[in-house]
Amino acid sequence: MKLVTRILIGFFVLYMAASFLLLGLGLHYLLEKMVPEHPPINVINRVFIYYLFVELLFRYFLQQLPVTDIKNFLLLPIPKRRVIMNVLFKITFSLYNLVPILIFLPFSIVSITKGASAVQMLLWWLGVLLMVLSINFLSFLINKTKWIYPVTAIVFLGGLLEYYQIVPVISSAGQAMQMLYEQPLLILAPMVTFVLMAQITFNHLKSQFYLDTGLQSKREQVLGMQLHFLDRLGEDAPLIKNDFRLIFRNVRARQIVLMFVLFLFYGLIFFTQDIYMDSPMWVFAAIFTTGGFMLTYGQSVPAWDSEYYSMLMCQNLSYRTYLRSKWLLMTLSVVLAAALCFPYLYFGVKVYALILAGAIFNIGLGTFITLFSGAINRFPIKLNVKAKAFENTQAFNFSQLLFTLPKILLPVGLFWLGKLAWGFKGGVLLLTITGLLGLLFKNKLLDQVVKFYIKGKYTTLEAFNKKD
Amino acid sequence: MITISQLSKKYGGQVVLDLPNLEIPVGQCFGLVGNNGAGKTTLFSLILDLIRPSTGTVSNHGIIVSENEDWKKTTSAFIDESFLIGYLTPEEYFQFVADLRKVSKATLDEWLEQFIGFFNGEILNKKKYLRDFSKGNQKKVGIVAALIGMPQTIILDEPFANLDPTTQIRLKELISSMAQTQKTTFLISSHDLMHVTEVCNRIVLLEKGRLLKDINKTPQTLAELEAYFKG
Repeated sequence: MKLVTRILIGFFVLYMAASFLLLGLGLHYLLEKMVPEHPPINVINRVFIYYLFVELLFRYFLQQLPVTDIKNFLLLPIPKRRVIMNVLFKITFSLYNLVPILIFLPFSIVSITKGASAVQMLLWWLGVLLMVLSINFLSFLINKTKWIYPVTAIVFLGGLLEYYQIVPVISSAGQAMQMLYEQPLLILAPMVTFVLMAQITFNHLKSQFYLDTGLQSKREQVLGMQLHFLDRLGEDAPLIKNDFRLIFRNVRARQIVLMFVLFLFYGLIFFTQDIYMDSPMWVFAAIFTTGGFMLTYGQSVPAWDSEYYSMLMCQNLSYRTYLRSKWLLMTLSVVLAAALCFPYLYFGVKVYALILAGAIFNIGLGTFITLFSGAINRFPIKLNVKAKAFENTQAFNFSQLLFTLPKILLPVGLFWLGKLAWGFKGGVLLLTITGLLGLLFKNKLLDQVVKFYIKGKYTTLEAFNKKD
Repeated sequence: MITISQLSKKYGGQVVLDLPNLEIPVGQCFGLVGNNGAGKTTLFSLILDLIRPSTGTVSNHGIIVSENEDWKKTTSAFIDESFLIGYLTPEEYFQFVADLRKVSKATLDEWLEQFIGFFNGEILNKKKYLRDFSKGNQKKVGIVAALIGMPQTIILDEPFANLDPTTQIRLKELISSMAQTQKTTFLISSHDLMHVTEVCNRIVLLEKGRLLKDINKTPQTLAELEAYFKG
């Protein structure tokens, strides 16, 4: 299984690399076609500052940096300088830094074959590479801070000032890039920047080289959450409170909230376009609009609790109560989403009726299918560690895919059947009835889920307790 | 009361635990000693139904643990840090366990007062998540949480490790008094022979998964154990 995952990740990386390479090869032609009045290089220069910013964002949120490794070296007879240089090299030779090589090197070469000066073009490319590497160091330096927000604000402000033609910030940056291209000697500027950034990073790492400064993990401020309003949920309250705390206090889990919000807008893609009118894609949209939380959170039940799963298994807590609380939490999220979706009424009663039918289906059946699929997802989640760029694919699992299909195909199929027989109303009705049936037999369905979880208990525990 | 019969655990072909039978009566303070790999944690995990036995059964107050979840009502445990929920504060964690054991907040707060000395001012009201506490303080929280709601059986794996000497002494007093006043059954494993012989009235010595000695404590027990471990 691990090998298969590795191979899949490998394929994914290759696929991405090939995509970037193709983009790089085609960029010249693409720009020529889109903006025929300017040479492609000028177009790139003009928007290059945005590209750098996007790089910074991606790195900030996704790139895992090799910092904690230092601790192991503290007591070994290796000069600090070498350890730090090693970290700097690791930062520099990350997969992310292949992107500018894959995109801009082929672009430069294509441009040269189209008559650009080779010296100018290659030095420009070197400049680009050095700038990206400097951004890499910058992202390393601000990684543990909140500096990304002021930087974002500055870029936005720059964009606004430019847009309203107050101060031409962005176009000045563009002109600077253009100058770099026209005057190859200016390559010195990115070179100096790169060396400077490397030096700053070096000094920073050196100052962090003691257990009581950089290597000590930072203590977080406690996010106060009393959550008394949840007490009325009775026996499920302690578990649901725990899940609220889990979601808001852990880096990995916070993304669920984001997904919940993003999925609310998912319907906009389909309900706004006439070509999807009444089509199965509408059902697809309706299911996702209210099911964002259910799908993202639910597919990793019980993996969210993997860090302390043994403890839960020893508490005065039956599997039934545990799973019922998860069901209730997902149900609450669907209800909340359905309520928040009422602006979709703007697109017609039909749309909102379909969203509500989708919500009822999600509650009655979707939740249970999700719980089943979660049970076979046995990859433990490290709650307070940022997801690595390719880590999500680790949770990829063929049997889970099998469970994802009914979550989507079943409602689409039901709607289609109903529509075939009695028109749009019939489709909505059939979806609603199926959901209500699921609710009616809730306890029976829950029994089956409980059985399934108990059957996998030892295997799940073993997978969660595996130390890597 | 815990009854073990024909219990064994194999990984691959290797036997890591093989106990034909063992009975731990109510109110006993049961000490488990043995070098690494002796099977102490394996035995506890089997009693807590965390791993599947290769053969045999564990029954806890007449309930076979691998068949029925009801033993959870009377049993609690602290095995290692994976028994803590890192993103909770100690107060929230205690409350969570208390909620599950149907202990009210008022009762919990009152009950926790007796541990003020044990906590030594380092646990409560610190506005800190459990994952940010030191190993020793994490252990204190885990042990105290295992005592919430007066469970009849309490299993503690290496409770003395990582604790400072003062806390070790207080923990011994705590266990002894609970065992006497509430007839709590304790199952304690330890590498610290002195502590374990002091607090327990029965010591079982495991070696490579097999029961080597089963001793009712006498003044000579410590010397006897030390003689064995000297080799």
